[in-house]
Amino acid sequence: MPNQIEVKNLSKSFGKHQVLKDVSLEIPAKKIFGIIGPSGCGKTTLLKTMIGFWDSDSGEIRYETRDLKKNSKFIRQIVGFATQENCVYPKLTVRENLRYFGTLSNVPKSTLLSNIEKVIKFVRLEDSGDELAENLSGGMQRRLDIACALVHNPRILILDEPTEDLDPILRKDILALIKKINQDETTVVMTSHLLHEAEQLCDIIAILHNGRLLKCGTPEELRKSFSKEDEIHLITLKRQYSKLVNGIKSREVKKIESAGNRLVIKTTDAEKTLQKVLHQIRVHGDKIVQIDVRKPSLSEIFVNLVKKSGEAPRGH
Amino acid sequence: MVKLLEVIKKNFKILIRSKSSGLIILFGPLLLILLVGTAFNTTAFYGIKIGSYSDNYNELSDSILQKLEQDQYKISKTKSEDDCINGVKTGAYHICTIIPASLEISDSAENAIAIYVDQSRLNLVFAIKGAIMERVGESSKEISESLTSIIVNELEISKDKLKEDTSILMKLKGSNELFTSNIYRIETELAGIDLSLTSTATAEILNKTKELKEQLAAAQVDDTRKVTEIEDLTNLLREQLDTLSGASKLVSEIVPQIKENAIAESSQIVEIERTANRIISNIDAIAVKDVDTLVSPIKTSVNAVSAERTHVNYLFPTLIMMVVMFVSLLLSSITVIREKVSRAYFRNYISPTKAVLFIVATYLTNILIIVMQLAIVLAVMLFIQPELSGTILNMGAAILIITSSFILLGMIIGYVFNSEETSTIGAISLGTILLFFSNTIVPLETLPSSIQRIVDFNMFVVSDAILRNIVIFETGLKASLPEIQTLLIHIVVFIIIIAAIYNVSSKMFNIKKYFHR
Repeated sequence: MPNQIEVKNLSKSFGKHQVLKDVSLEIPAKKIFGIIGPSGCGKTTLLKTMIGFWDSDSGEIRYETRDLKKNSKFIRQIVGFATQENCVYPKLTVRENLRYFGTLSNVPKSTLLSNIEKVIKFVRLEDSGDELAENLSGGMQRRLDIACALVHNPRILILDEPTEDLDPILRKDILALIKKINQDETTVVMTSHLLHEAEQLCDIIAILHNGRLLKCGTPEELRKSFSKEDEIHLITLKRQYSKLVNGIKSREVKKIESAGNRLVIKTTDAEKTLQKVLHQIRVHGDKIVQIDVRKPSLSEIFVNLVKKSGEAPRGH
Repeated sequence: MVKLLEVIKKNFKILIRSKSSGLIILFGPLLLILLVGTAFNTTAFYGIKIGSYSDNYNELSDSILQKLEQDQYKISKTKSEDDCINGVKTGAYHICTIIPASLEISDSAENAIAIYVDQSRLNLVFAIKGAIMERVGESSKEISESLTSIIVNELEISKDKLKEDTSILMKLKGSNELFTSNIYRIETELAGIDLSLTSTATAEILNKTKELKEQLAAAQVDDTRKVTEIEDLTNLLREQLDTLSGASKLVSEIVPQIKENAIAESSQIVEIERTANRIISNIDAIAVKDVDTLVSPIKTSVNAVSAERTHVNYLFPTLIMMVVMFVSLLLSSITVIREKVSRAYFRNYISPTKAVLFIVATYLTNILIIVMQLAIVLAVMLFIQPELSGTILNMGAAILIITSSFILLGMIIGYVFNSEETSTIGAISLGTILLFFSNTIVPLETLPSSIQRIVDFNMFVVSDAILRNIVIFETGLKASLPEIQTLLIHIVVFIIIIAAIYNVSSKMFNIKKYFHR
C-alpha cells in the first residue's frame, strides 16, 4: 500500500526549545492514523508543521510523493484541517462559514452549493444551516469545524484533538463521524491524548513523547511489541485458588499470582490455559463468578515505552 | 488588604509581562508628552517664509524687509504679484507682502502694504500677521516720529525766530508809545490854542478891535485910555502868537523824531515780515501735513489669498483629515487584529489562498467603509456649501490616496500588536502624535527647523495640505503633486512592511498560543 504522507526526520524548535526531534512517519492512504501522546508532547506542532504552517528546521514532508515546500498550494488543496479550537467565524452562519472556506479552497462556484449541503448533511447540521456559529453547541461547533475542513472534498483530513473538551456522548458522536469520513476513503490523521479512544478508532497509531516518536504501528503490533503474554483474571465462588494452581501450571503458563480476591494467570496461549482453568474448576466443584482474558492496553504500552525512553513527560 | 495587594500585584505582573500592552499603556502617553513637550517647548516661530513683491523697491521698502529679516523671517522677492500670492496658496510662503512701487511718505502717496494670508491656517495667520504688522508698525512709528519731529523742529525754529523778533516788536512798541505820547503832547498843545471865532481871546480881540474901530471913527481923538486898550489888544495878540509859536516849535521838534522813528520802524517791520514769510515757506516745505499720514505713515491691509469663506470652510479639510485618519487607523487596525485573534485565522492561513489576497481584502473592506462614511460627510458638506461641487472629483481622488495610506498604517498596527486593546491604544496614540505634529493645534512653524524637516513627512500634514489646496484654493491635483508623491511613497513603504510582517506576525501570534496551551 503506497504511503500517502511521508514524514522523514522532522525536527522543529521554537527558540531553544526543541519540540520535534527527528520524527519520521509513514501514513498510508484511506486509513485512520492516530498520533497519541500526553499534552505538550508536540502533537499539534507536528500536525501544523505537516501542513506547512510552521517551517521545519530539518526533515522532509511529502504528500503523494510531492514535497510540501514546493507544492504547498496543491497540498493545501488536498488536505483538510480541523483544529481543537473550532476555527470558524462565530458571527457567520453555518452555511456562510462553509461558503467562505469553500471559496478560499478553490471549490468551483458550480459545485460549492451542492458541496455545502452535502457536508451539512454529512455532519448532521442540516437543521442549523442558517444559525450563527456562535449559537451552536460545543459538539455542533466541532462538527462545523470538521465540515469546514471537508467542504473542498479533501483526500486527507487532519484532525487535532477532535474530541477535546467534549462530553462522552458528543465524543462518541465525533468518533462515529470520523469513522464515517474514513469510510468515504478519506485518509484521516488525528491526534489525541485519550489513548483508549485512539485504540478504538485508529488503524495505525504513532506514540509521541517529548517530541520524539516512540513507536508506530497497528494496535495489535503495538501490543505484541510490548508483551506476548495475555492475562486471565479469575474470580470463583469458593476462592480456593491454591487447589486450582497445580492443575493449571504448564509450559505456556508463565506466572500465577493471587491479587486480592482474584487469581491472575499470565500465559502465552490464553485459549489452552483457559481450557485448563475451566477443567480445574469443574474438578474441584467450584463455580465461576467472573473470568476475563486481558491483553495489554495502549496505556500500559505507553507507560512502558515512556519508562523505557527514560524521559519524564514534559510538564509532568 | 493582603488580598487587595495581591490582586494589584497580579494586575501589574500581567501588564508588564504582556510586553506590547505594557509598553503602549505605560509608556505610550509618556512618550507622547515627551515628544510634544520637547518639540513645542518654544515661543518662537521658525522658518517663516515671507514672499514680497514690489514694482520698485526703494530704501524705505528695503528697510522694512530688513527689519523682517532681522526676525529670522526668510524674505523672498518674487517676480510678480501673482507668484507671491500663489506662493501662499501652495505653501511656499506663509505670508505675501505687496509693497507699493517706490514706497514713499507723502500726503498723496499710496503707502499701503497689502499682506496676503492663508486664512485657513488661522493660528499661524494670527501669530505671524501680528508679528509682521508689528514690524511694519515699528517702521511706521519711526517714520511718524521723524515726520512729527520735522514739524516740531519747524515750530522750534519759528519760535526762536519769533523770539528774536520780539525785541524788535518791543522796540516798535516803545517807539509806538513815544509816538503816541508825542502825538498826545501836540494834540494837547494844539488843543490849548483856541483860534476859533467863538474862543474868548479871539472874541475879545475881535470885540475890542471892533470897539476901537468904532470909537476911533466916532471921536477921532487922542485918548490915553484908548491907547491902553490898543496896547492890551496888542498884548493879547502877542500872547496868541506866542502860543502858536510854542505849538509850532513843538510840532517842528516832534515831527522829525516821529519821522525818524517811522523810518526805523519800517525796516523792523520788514524784518518781521521776512521772518513771517520764512516761517510760512518752512511750513509749506513740510512734505506731510496730513494728520492721518502723520499718525500712520505706512498702512497695512490684510487680504485672504482664497475667496472669502466661513470658518467651517477653512476647517473643512482638517475636519475631513481627522475623520479619515482616526477612522482609518482604528478601523483597519481593529479589522486586522480581530481577524488575527480569530480562531478562523488559522484556517485562512492554511487554505490554498495567497496571503496577498487577505491583505488586499482587508484594505478594500476598510476603504469601502470609509468611502461610504465620507460620501455622507461630503454630501452634507455639498448641501451646505454647493460651491464645493467643482472640487468633488479632485477631492474624491485625493481622499482615496489619503485614506489608503492611513488604512495601510492602521493595518501595520494591527499586525504588530496582539490584542484589540493594545492595538486601539496604539492607533489612538499614533493618531494623536500625527495630529499634534501638524498645524491643527499649534503651527508647525513653532517647531525647530530640524524637527520641522521630519514633520514635513507627517502623513497628516501632507494630506491636510492636499485637501486645503483642493478645497480652499480650488486647485487641481497637479498643484499637490509633491504631496501626493510623498503619500504614494508612504503607501509603497507600508505595503512592503505589511508584506514583511504578515507571516512573522501570524506565526508569532501562534507561538504564543502554542506555549499558552
